[in-house]
Amino acid sequence: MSLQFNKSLSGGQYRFILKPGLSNRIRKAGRKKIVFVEGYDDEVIFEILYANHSDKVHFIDVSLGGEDTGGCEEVKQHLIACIQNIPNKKCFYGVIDRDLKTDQEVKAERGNPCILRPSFRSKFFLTKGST
Amino acid sequence: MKLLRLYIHNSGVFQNTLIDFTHHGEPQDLICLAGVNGSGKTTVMELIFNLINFINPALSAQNLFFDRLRPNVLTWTDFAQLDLLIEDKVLSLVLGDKENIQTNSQYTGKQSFIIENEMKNLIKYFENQVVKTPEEDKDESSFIKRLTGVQEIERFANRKIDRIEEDSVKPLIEKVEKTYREEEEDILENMPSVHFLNAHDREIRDIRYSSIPQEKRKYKIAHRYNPNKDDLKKTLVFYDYAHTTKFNDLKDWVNEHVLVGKSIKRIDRPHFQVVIETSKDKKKHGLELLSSGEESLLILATQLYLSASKQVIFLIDEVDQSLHPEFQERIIKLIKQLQKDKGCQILMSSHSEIIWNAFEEQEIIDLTANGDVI
Repeated sequence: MSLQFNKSLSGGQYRFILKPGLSNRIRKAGRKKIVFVEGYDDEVIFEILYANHSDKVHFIDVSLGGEDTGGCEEVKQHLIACIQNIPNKKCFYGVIDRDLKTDQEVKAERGNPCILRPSFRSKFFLTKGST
Repeated sequence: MKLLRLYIHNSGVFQNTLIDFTHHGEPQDLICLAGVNGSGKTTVMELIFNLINFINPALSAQNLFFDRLRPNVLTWTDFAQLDLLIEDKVLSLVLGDKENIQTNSQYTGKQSFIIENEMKNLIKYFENQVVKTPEEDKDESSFIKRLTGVQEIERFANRKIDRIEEDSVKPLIEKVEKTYREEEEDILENMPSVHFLNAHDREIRDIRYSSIPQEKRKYKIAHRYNPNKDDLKKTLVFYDYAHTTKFNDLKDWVNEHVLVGKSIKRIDRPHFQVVIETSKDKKKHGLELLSSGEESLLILATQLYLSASKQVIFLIDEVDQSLHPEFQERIIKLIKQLQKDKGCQILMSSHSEIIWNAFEEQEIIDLTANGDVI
């Protein structure tokens, strides 16, 4: 056999996502950058803030409109799962609230590669090739 | 007949891609292709349709589909192999070099191949010489045109086809060949076939001045819905006079599951009209007054109902086209029910979240991964 079919496409691409409905929200985003947010209000606010870039960025409320649990741990969990299971082809981000974290707690979290400073927001959403 | 795998080498957006329609190696009855525009959904369907045509022992230029505006998918594909499960055997249909065929260890001794290596160039040549005759050559004599066409058909007939046949698969191929020769109507329902319903063809045409079909149905391994030949009105009028029981079953099923607020009342035979009656005020009208969504829904439902069986594969491109969310819910519900009742395999493509939500995650093949991020 001289040809190697090294790219395999099959069903169940998002089977690692256990929340029903979330995989189709990701699918709906097509090739846009995906940003997980904690709840429905966040999704609405970010959609308004980034209305001019809605063709490039897709916000997904991890609580699915309040039907399921949301919050920062859910955002982190889905973000890590997507980055680990769908390498290279899609860009995933998460936005979590600072809540009542102290400056030290925030500083400590910056070591995590998934955490970006607020000032990076507009850059990372819209800069081509950003990771 | 069920789809197992499709290997594609250099065809549109696909370079070296294996599309696996199975779940843990077993064929799936309902599959949805998702993906952004340009990710290759229609290419996959066109490849499947054209490769299944290789089973046709009388395949020639006359029974290939040609489009003046779009070259046949086989002409811009370097290699493709479609693995089909028929009964418990695998038949692999190959476009390209024999050296590149893909064997599957799961089916050792049960996998046969039909390999067409000259087909690509023959189709390309036929398209250039006959199908795409330029406007300025209109004055060329029809005799020369016909002669060119005949010569090309002869070239098709004389092409080399490689076959690697396991003894276990031979009876199946012989059965198909026999059916093509004999055209026995009563065995049509148990024969393998693929039905392709293209997104842009699901509409009702004006057939007032054309004749309704009177000839016996002929077995075709690969059938593409043709809005003229398979027109909904023609089909319903024909079934009313030729297969009355089947027509009445279809009418009852359509009135119960497909149409809302209206029903098929009867066929007005003298005027070749399908009479639709509204439930509320009992007004009567023809099929022409159905909305485009109702048309699309009714065409799909009718084609599925009349052709579905265990050996049939349906390819439905953009199943949600022209359909309101309510109708999308309705079409997916009836497709799932029909699949369950008749045991056919249905591969559809859709951009709709409503349609996706009706599938299990393993039944959705997302081709977006085939493209680049934006």
